[in-house]
Amino acid sequence: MRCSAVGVFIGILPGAGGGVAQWVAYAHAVQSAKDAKDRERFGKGDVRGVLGPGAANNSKEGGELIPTVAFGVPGGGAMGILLGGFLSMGLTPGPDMLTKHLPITFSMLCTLVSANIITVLLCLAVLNHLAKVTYVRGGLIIPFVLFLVFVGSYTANGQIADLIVTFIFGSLGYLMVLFGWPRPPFVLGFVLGKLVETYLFISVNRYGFSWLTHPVVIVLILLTGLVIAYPFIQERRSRKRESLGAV
Amino acid sequence: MFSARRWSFKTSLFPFATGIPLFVLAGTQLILELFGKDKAVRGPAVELELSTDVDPAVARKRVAGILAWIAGFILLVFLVGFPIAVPVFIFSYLSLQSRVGWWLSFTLTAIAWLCFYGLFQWLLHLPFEEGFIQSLLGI
Repeated sequence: MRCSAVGVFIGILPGAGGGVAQWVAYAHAVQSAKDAKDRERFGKGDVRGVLGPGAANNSKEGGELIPTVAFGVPGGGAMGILLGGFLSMGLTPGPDMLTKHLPITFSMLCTLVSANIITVLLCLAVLNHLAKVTYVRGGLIIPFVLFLVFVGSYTANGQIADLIVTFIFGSLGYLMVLFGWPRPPFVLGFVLGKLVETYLFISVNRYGFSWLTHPVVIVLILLTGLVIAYPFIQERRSRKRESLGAV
Repeated sequence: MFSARRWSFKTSLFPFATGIPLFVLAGTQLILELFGKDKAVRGPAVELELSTDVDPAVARKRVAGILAWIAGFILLVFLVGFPIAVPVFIFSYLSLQSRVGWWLSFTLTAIAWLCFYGLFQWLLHLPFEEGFIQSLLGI
């Protein structure tokens, strides 16, 4: 449930996309582990590491609808296509979508909810059979996965150079795992860097540094501090509990 | 950050906004690494870990092998384009690397090619660049 909320929140942020939602939800799932021992289970098949990012990935679609419908700012690629559809149908995103065209907005909401319910029912029905895919020999799956990965990267811009970029960054990812360097900060920095630069520039240009004193910004800074401090608090609590147990 | 000192305020804003905290955090990390008391205490990995039950030499050989296959696939795409590269790559990988029988390799390749053609070309109409050889020969 918390990872779903994370997904909705990240979906609202324009341009952040599914990758960010999944990594942040994964980090939250890891952070929610009871103690260091419990945390060790992540990356070794703990189902929470799959459920959290999965929930965030699904819920971000709903979040992405909010800026798309209300402000005409698409939250991601799929919403960009939806926005194009709106404009071609003569629908202008904005206040009208919440007043004059409210039935259309509600129909999208209902479609999204129905799609999720259908997905859950389908998964419940065929999950056991789908799980058998994990027993298929790696050598049979690898060429199909590679072909899908590279077709996917090619379709982003329609350039063969993207295949080389995928290869280089895939190799970099492997090296990072090999040397124990965390990949989520790298991915988040890469994805969010441009957004942060753009909005920092806009904020400073518009308000100077007084934007740091705005209530919403202060709340967000406090929440960020809390998120950073939480693992330390958790560790301290766990140590205290252990020392009490030893006594 | 050193170079950004001479830049205009607007240009140097982001390098400073990210560089200063990064410099402070990296410095703190360095001091902790050098003089910290509990050097051995490290948090557990919170993401994917490589399996340790395979001999490192074998693992290295496998990694080199798969990297060579990927590089070969990219080269093939460049030379002949996706529509030809996909079936050739899948058939070659299955029969040569995975040592799958000819008939199964052929069947799986046919399925993959049907998926590729049906989904990406017939249904989605995605434009795939022609290969270097085709453009050279004017095919």
